[in-house]
Amino acid sequence: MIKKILAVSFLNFKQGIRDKLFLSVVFFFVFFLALCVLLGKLSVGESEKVLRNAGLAGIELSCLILVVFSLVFSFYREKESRILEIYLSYFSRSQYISGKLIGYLLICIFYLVLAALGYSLILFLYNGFIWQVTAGIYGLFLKLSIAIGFSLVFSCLFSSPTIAFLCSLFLYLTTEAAYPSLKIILQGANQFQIIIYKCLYYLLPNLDKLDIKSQAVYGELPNLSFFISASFYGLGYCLFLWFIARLIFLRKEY
Amino acid sequence: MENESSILSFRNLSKSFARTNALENINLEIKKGEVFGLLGPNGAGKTTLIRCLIKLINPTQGDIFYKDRLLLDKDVHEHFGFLPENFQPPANLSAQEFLEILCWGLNLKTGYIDSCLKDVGLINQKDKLIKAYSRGMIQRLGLAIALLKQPQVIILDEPTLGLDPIGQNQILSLLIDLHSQGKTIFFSSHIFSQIEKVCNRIGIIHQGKLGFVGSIKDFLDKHHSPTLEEGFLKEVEADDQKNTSR
Repeated sequence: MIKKILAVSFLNFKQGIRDKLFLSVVFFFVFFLALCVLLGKLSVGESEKVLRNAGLAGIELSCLILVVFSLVFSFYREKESRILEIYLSYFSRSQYISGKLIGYLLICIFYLVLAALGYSLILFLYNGFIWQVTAGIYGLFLKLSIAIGFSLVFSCLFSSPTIAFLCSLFLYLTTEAAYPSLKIILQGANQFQIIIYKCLYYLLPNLDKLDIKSQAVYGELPNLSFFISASFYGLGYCLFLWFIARLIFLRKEY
Repeated sequence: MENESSILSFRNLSKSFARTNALENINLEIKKGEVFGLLGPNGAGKTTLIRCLIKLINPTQGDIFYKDRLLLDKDVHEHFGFLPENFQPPANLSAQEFLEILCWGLNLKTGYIDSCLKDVGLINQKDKLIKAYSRGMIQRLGLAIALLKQPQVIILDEPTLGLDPIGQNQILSLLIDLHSQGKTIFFSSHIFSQIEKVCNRIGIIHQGKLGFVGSIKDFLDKHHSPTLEEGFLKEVEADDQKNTSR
């Protein structure tokens, strides 16, 4: 069972990292780093912090586009190219969907490691490296794993890849902005509205709680218990999304 | 009455999509070790029947039996080799890599990869990326994938699609070989000469209904036709006339 899931993961991983999209995102990130260096030079006195901050934001953005776009379109490509039918004659639907999720988590890790190496190298060269930024990248991984889970759910749910891609992307952006929006809304809301807004906020992934970019940039990190609870939250939410995607996929006819 | 040597049985199988009946009351027995050819015009229901058999879609009514018991997903995963029509494997992998990962996942011996690739004539191109393969090579790779788990039943949807005459002959010879090894082969094709060459029995499907099931000789006798193509056209026309008169 585990080997079958891993076989699907490796097929997705190998295919994903050799895809043109992966290479394009790597190139995009390299150019982005060059831009960050330029921005750092323009910000006199704060150049290291700007470089750290912009670099982390670039890693998040590029990896988000990579995993969401790549997962959604590979799912539909497999359906259209009918290789999905071959996979489903080899593996059960649960094994396939689990393998797909793990495969894309592996792609995410692989890209984050590559990006972290490039980013750290640039920071070293400009005397801006602090080890805390690597913890910031771990926070990004937790956020992106939830984005991968959502992409999987939307891919199983919708028959159009564009809708699945846009839903995944907008949901990520919405959850990013959820906390500040909630604070503004709660100021003028009545008790009933407060309950509704809070329910909605806690139902959606609380990505703001996983985001430690700004702290990492200043070399201040939360304590170990934060990392443990954040890891459990990320993993738990990802498992919940896997369960939903699996339920949908088991009922679909291909 | 159940035939003892039946490996697959379709019983009262129907499938509807919205208001369209894609399959209507299909009853069919596939005998162990036979090559069964499914013939039908485009949209007749061949692929839908195959999809039901692979359990990609669920029939609206009726059941499929494998060795006299209800067909399970596990049977498909373990005993069925499948080649869909016009498929495209992952382009950024080589045939060797792709088959190796499948073998590893299924706990199969990797040594069998070479023998499969040799059988389909791809042994010399096994390290090339699949994106460099021609349509014919992809089709042959599909057959290698179908054979990898040494299945008891091989299901092929238009297996010679996109192949040149040499490639077609190669595949047909391979099917004859597999038949001689006792494999059961269920395949759909539009090419009558292929059906004539390899099939023990045929089934004619038209507008979701199975019109004729039997040997090629019986079919030709039924329509007093010298060729399978002529007989097929008569069968389809007769069926169309029957439907219009209703």
